[in-house]
Amino acid sequence: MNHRSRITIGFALCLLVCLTACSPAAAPMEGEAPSASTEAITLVDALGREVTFEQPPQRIVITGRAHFMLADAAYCFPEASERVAGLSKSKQTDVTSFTELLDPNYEEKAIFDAETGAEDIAAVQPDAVLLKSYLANGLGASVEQLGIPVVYIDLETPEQYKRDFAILGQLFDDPDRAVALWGSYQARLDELAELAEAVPDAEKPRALVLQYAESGGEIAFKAPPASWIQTQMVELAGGLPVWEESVQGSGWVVVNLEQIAAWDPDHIFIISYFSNVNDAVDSLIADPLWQELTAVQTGQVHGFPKDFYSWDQPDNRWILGLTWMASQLYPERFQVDMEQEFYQFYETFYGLDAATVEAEIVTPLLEGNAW
Amino acid sequence: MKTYRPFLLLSASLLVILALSVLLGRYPTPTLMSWDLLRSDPMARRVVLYLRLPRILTACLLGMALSAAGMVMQMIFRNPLVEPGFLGVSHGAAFGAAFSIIFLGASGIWMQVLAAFFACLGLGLSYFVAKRIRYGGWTLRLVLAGIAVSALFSSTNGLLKYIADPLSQLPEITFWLLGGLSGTTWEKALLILPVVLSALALMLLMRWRLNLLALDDETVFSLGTAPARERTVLLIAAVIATASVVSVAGVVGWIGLIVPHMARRLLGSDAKRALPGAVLIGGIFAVLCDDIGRTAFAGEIPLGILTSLLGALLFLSMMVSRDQELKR
Repeated sequence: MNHRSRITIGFALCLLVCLTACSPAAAPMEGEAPSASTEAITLVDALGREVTFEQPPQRIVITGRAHFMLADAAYCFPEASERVAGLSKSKQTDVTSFTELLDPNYEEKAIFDAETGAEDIAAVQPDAVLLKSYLANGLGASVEQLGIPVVYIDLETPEQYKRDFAILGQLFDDPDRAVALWGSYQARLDELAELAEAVPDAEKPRALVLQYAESGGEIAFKAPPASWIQTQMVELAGGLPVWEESVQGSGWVVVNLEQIAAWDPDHIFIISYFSNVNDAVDSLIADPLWQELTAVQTGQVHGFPKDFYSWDQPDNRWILGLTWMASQLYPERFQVDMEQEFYQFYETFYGLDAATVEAEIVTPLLEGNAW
Repeated sequence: MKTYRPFLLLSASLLVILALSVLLGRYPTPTLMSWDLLRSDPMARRVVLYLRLPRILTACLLGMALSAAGMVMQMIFRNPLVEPGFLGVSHGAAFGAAFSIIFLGASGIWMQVLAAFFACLGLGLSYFVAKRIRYGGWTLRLVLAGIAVSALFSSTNGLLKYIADPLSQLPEITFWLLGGLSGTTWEKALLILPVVLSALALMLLMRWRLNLLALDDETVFSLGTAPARERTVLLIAAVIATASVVSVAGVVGWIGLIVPHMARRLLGSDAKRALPGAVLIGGIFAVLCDDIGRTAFAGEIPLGILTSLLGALLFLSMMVSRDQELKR
């Protein structure tokens, strides 16, 4: 085949591919806008930007990395099922996602991939997009190029939860709900602050939080950085995070058994995002290399509970994780009925009754020694 | 007219593909957008104006820059296996970009400056190391040096990834290493446009000299050319063009390797024809790959993955092709 034929065929192929892609474009989706108040709202988002809406947004899209944290916080507001028009799919479980359980209108929502682009978001015709603030230069910038307002929130630390609940309260035009939600967190934080103050540092239990990660038969243990909520939870629960001074970095840092033995903490909390945490804990306790650790000998290796999401992450459930952690560190001083706390959490935050929680969460999903 | 026919055909193909690319995307559905929709839907116009146009322009510039840089390097180094990525240019630029993400807050201008600096450093190191190796022909020495320098920058990129914040910085660095145009805005496109066009113009204006510079130094000197100076000018233009596009799009491989070969197959080895041909083919190739990457699936495929996949397939087909006969 000479080069002229090759050029001709190549050009014809290109044209053919393009022509076969031609089809009448579907009409843009038209969402049904629930009735809403007509008052304009101006909120200040996590990046300190003022975002103004002529009226509370009626078609909100929640997407981007770690979107599930945003969605779980948004769905604490009853208005969310009507006003959320699209969200990304992501589950750390194999069963129905949490949002599907919460939202009776889930089937009508636009569901995006985790790495969706601005065009897919625009197709839903949102009037607001909720993103994590570190997406401001990437996806957020592209969405804002299209004239769609973006509200950035973080939800990474207790302080940010207080701020971001208020933002969500404005977004959903339900500030009282935001105050009530944060009030639940604040009450527990105050209680634990009192507990921690009453215990001198020398008597505080030394704790280590490790992520158990298995890949290709290899097991790695990772410690969280000082700035993350996992480290803060140990401090808030009245413990001393043994790794805080020596682990450097901005993300999970691999630590070997030698270092773990050098720390030899009183309590070890094992997190396992993608495998069964009970199995992970059992394997560690049975491992001869771990037998000399104080925490193993005293039975203080704890699997971090998880249901849809592990309770250690900066998802709404961190308050459950914190409560549970405090009950493990101070079983005598801080006696709490975790089972009751668990059911109360889902009722208070999401309006789920005990039977639904039992059937949809406890039975199929709950792992770790929650109670 | 006959001699210009391939260029007219390539130029026409590029224009048609650019026009169709403007209409191709995922809004409102993953097909070609109709003119009616473009006229009636303000969101469609915004999508085209603010998302697709800068992205398509950048993809075209990227393809053109990498192809031209690849052609220049292959001729100057007399090595058909050379591309900007092999000589530490792309990985050096990626290191500069990663460095600016972590330590300088990913500022656009700093990213370009550091990318260009480390790209030049990568090329310089490869050349210096190749000169110092005492065994093997020049081709082998250059390839070895390029592999070593690229590996050096890859390992430092690995270190930067290790210390990067996994929530905000690491995904951005990973994006650089895979290559992609998802975050392209007019600001970024216009930032690289004058740089890339200037570098391309210089390479195109000096393309006649490339045939000479591909010869050995004694021959070139005897023909009245200052080889060292002219090679340096061309290489700087190639590196600056590469660094500019890498600073916006990340490491996009195989374009600089495969497109010059395609151009030579179609238009001959004379740089007078092959270089502009490579520029046009590179633009077409990059735009097509980006169209596929941003339209085929809801989750965007990084551009570097597609260019590597398609580039490798094309390269294999060219290697096993029996079209080229040895004339005895």
